[in-house]
Amino acid sequence: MALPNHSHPNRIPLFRAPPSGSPVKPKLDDQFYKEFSRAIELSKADIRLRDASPHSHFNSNQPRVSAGHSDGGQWTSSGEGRASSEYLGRNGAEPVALPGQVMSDADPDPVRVWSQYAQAGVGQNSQNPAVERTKDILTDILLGVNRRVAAEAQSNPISARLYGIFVHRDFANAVRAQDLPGIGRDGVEQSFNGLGEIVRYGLDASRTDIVLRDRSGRIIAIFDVKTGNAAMAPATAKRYRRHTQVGPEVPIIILHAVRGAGLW
Amino acid sequence: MVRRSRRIFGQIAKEMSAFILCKDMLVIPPTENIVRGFLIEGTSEKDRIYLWKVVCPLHRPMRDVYLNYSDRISEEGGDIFVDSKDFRKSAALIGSIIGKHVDELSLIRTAKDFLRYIGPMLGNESFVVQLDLAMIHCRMRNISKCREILTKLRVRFDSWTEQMNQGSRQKHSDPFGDQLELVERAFASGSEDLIVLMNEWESKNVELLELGPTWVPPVV
Repeated sequence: MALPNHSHPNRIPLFRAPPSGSPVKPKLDDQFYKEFSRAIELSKADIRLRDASPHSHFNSNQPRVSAGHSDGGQWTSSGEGRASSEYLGRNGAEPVALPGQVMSDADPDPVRVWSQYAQAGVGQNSQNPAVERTKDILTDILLGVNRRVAAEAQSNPISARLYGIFVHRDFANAVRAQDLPGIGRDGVEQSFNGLGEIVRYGLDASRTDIVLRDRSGRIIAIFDVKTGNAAMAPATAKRYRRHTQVGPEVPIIILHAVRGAGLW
Repeated sequence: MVRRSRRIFGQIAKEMSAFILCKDMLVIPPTENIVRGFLIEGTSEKDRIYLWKVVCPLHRPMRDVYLNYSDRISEEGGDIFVDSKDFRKSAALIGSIIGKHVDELSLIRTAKDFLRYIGPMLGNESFVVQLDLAMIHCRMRNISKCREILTKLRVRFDSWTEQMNQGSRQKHSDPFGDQLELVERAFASGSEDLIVLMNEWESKNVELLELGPTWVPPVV
């Protein structure tokens, strides 16, 4: 008896199989790029739509700091990550924000998002188009989320810690809603114990923000959101690797979101 | 969370005979080699939950059910919020969501069913999946397949451990490595020894997860 399709993170149906009897079997890579291009467009459209939405995302629900994020929502004065600190002031010609950069109140748009590879990773580029494209999508999503949270925080001042919590929460919600290839709804906020097992939130485990998997379910990248200039300590990156059982060939990519130093 | 899960699932178990509440998990009986059921996971947002459709083999030591073969399910693709003040309402909502997954889960009882269920994951080289796969093959008496998987797994695991220990003064003891070693030792002395070990672990997990009322012990 055949089992129905599942939406398990390790069995995410990233690519539809070609119809049987099809004379030309499409190359998986073509389908792959098509899926990602579609996801990028959907993601951008959604961000544009939500950026224009005036509704407030602050509500009475009080979120908690994610387990496994010892520095989740925490802010530091300098970034120490090495390797590629890049961009990403998308949606316009915003200047590149680097760790440690000082931003002032005078900056007309102090909200910044950029990404960075954690230490012991692969360096400047994962060499994997799926990872790179996903990084772009997630960065776009984070930029939209960060803008909304920063705009709300201007009229309704909140602590840096709470700001970080709201960014994490809204980012997770936005990514889940996108149901992105390789992430789905399950690749968001997953906890891994010391055996590489996925376990429930709250147990002794590392809570990841986003896990990207390939067709078989193998982890090909881990994304971690940091607010402010918070960096990922090498020990934390190592713990993530031990708990997810991935080697240095799998990048841990830190997505940074800041709202501008002058606002604090 | 445990209390909330117990209250919601307890309400469902009271009204639907297809389920038994075991600890804080709603289990579909009977439990043989694989536990099937539903689990609530808390999130960073108040009252929002992840609802898991659980499929988990019991053949390895565990501290809690692990979810590598389980799925988060949702209501029409959206988030699930429970009403912390009204457990009956929450139970009604969750009951309406899980109902459609019961038939599918009921089909996964034995090692053979599990192997079929995880078919799409066979290319997944994560250590946990490969170890489970080896053990499942052993239970199905596919001894050469079990040996092949364990051999490859050992090579890959040692290589990964070496990478992880590079630059560290202190060598890290890995709990997965410990489990792998126990399985290898048992298998080296005979596949039946490994099956006995798996049965022992299964019994302990039944106790840990309070699956007793649903459990059908293996025929030895």
